[in-house]
Amino acid sequence: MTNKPKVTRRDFLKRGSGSVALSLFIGGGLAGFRAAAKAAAQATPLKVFTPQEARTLLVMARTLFPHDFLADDYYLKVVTAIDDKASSDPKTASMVREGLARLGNKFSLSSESEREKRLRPVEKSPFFIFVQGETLNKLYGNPEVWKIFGYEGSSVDLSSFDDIGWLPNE
Amino acid sequence: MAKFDLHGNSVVVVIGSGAGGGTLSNELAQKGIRVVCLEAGPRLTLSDVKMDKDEMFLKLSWLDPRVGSAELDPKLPAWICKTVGGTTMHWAGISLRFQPREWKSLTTYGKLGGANLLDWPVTHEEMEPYYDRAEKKMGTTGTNNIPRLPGNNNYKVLEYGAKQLGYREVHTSNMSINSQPYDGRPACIRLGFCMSGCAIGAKWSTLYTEVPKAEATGNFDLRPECMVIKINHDAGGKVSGVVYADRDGTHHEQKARLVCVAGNAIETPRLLLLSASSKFPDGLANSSGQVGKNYMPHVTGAVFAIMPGEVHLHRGTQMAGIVRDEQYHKPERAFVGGYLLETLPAGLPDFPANAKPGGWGREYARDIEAYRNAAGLWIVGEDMPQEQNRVTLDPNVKDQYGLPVAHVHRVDHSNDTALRQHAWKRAVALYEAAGARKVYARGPFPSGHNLGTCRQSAKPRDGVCNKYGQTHDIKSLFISDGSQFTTSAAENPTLTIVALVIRQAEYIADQMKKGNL
Repeated sequence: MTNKPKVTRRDFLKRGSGSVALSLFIGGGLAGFRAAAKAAAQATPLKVFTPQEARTLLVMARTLFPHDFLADDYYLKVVTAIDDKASSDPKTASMVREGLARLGNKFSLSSESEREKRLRPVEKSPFFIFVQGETLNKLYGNPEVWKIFGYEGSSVDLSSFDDIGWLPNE
Repeated sequence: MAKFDLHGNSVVVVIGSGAGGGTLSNELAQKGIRVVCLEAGPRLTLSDVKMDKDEMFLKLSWLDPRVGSAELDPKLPAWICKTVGGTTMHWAGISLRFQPREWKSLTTYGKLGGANLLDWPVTHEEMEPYYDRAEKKMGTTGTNNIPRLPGNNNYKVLEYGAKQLGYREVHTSNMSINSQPYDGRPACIRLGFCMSGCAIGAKWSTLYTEVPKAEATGNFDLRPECMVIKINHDAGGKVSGVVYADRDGTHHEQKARLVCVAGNAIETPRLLLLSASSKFPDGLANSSGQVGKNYMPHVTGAVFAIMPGEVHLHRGTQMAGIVRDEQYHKPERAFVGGYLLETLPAGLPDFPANAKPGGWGREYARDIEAYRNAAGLWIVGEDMPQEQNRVTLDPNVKDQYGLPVAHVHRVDHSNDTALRQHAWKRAVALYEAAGARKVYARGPFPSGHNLGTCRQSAKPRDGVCNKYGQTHDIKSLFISDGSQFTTSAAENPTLTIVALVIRQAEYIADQMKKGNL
C-alpha cells in the first residue's frame, strides 16, 4: 500500500519563509549535468531535516536504488516525503536523524561502493528498512518514473499485449 | 428493491455479498424466498472503479484491524474485500473445478502427521451438475463453447518455457472474464487492472450480476455498510436473528428464519465465536471445537524473471495463463497434492517490492531497469489442514465496535514447504528454459484465498457443517463461503464456492418446502 502525498505544492508555498531551505549538490563522481543544480535551485523547504541531513538522505536513497538516468529531482521527492512523515511523528524524526548521524557527513561524499559497504551492515535496522520502504514507494510510485521504466499504468496500450516477437517459436 | 421488516422472522438473513453470499442470495430470491443481505462494506458502481491500484486497494479492501502471526503479515494477514460484491471485486477470474480425487484427500493421501486431513462429505459426482451451472452463470471461458481469452506476452513466455520443459496442459485458463459479450456484460478489452476491480464489468462479480438479478425479483433487501456483530438464538438453541451495526453505528436486530454466514473464512468463524452464549459458551456451531481451525490460504509463492526481450507483463488480462501438469498427486515428488502455475503481473512499485523484498543496490537497480523484460507467475497448491492454523479472537486488539478482532495464525506443514520448494524449482527451470537472465523466487503475498475454518464433515465431531453447509449443531445456521472447505485442493476456490452455494440454495428451498427449516 502506497500512501498518497499528504502535502501539496500549495502547502509549501503557504509555509514560505521560516522553513529551512534545502539546497543540494551531489558530487562524488555522479554525472554533473544531472539536474543537481536544478534541485538546488528549487530550494525546497523542509520541516525537520537540516540541509546536511537531507543531503545524506538523498544520497542514501540513490544508493539504495541507483538509476543514473533519473535526475536528483526524483530522489528529492523521496526526501520531502520522509521529511513530511517525520514532521508529524517525532519518533520517526528521531529514528531517521539518528540513523543519518550514524552514517556521518562524509557519507554523501564517498564513492558508491563505499556507501554500499557502509549500508550493508545496517540493512536490518529499523532506520534502514524505513528509508528503504519509503524510497521504494515514493520513487517507483511516481507516475513520471513509471513512464521512464515502461510501466503504463492507466495509459496501458490495449493493442500491444501480445506483440512479444522475440520468442524462438514466433 | 424490497425493504423487509426488522421483525419479520420469515426472512433468510445472508451475511456477506461476495461469491458465496451474493450468489446464494440470488439463488434463493429466484426461488421466491425472501432474503435480507447484510454487507459490511459500501455499494460501489462501475464508475467508482478506477485504473489506480492504490486508490482501489483503499476502496475495496478489508482494512479493519486484524492480527496476523507466524508467517502472516502482522497487520494484513489476508487481502480480501469489504464492499458489495466482496472479494469477487478483487479476484482474478480464474475458475477451475476440483480434480475428482481432491474431494477425497484423506483416502488418497492417507494419514499425514500433523495434518487434519478429511474427505469431503460431498462427492465429485454430486458436485458436477453444480459446476455446470456455476460455469454457465459466470460465463467461464473454455466451457459451454465460450472461447478462451487471447494470451498476453506474459502468457507467451509461460507457454514457451512450459513447452520446453515438456508440459502439455498449458492454456489461457478457464476465466470468468468475458472473451465475448455474455449475459449483458461486454468482452474484456485488456485494461490490465483485473484485481483492482474490472472497470467495464467484463469480469464476473456479484456486484453487477447476482445482486441486481436478486433485486429484480422483489425478494431481496440488500443493506450495505451493515456489519453483523452477533447471531442470536432462542432458548431452544434455534437461530432467531442477527444484531448489526449500521453506517452510523446504531445497532438493530433483524429477526430471521435462517442465517447463512458468508463473511469469508476469517470473519465467518470470528462471528460464530463472537456469538458465544450461555448455551453455546465456545461459540455457535462449535461442539466439535473446529470453528476457526484448519485455516488454509493455499500454499502460494511467486516467481519473477528478467527475460532477454521485452514482455510488458502488466498488459492484457492479468492471470489468463496456466500450467496444469503439476496439479496431480504424484507421490514420487515426495509430497502429497499438486499445484498450478498461473501468470502474474506486476506494475510499479510492486515489481521492485515483490521481485525481491528487501533488495537494493546497483545490481538490483539494474534488474528493475529491465522492468520491460520482466515475466511473472504465481504458484497455488494444496494446503494441508492443520488445527494450529486458525482464526481466534485476539485478546488485545478491538475493532470500531469494541469487539475483539480476528487473530489469524499460519505455519507451513512440512508438506507445504516441500510442495512450494518443488514449484519454485520448476518455475525457475521454466523461465531458464525460456532464456531468463535472472530469476527471483519469493514467498507468499497476503492471501486472497481463505478457506477451511468451518469445514464440512460427514461426522459432527470432525467439522462444523454437513455436505450442504448446514451446521451440525444448529439446523437453521448455514456456512455459505470458503469456510466450509474440508480441504483446499490446488485450484483457485471461487468456482467451487459458487457451485456449493447453488447446491445449498436448492437444499434450503427443498427443506423449507418440506417444513424441515
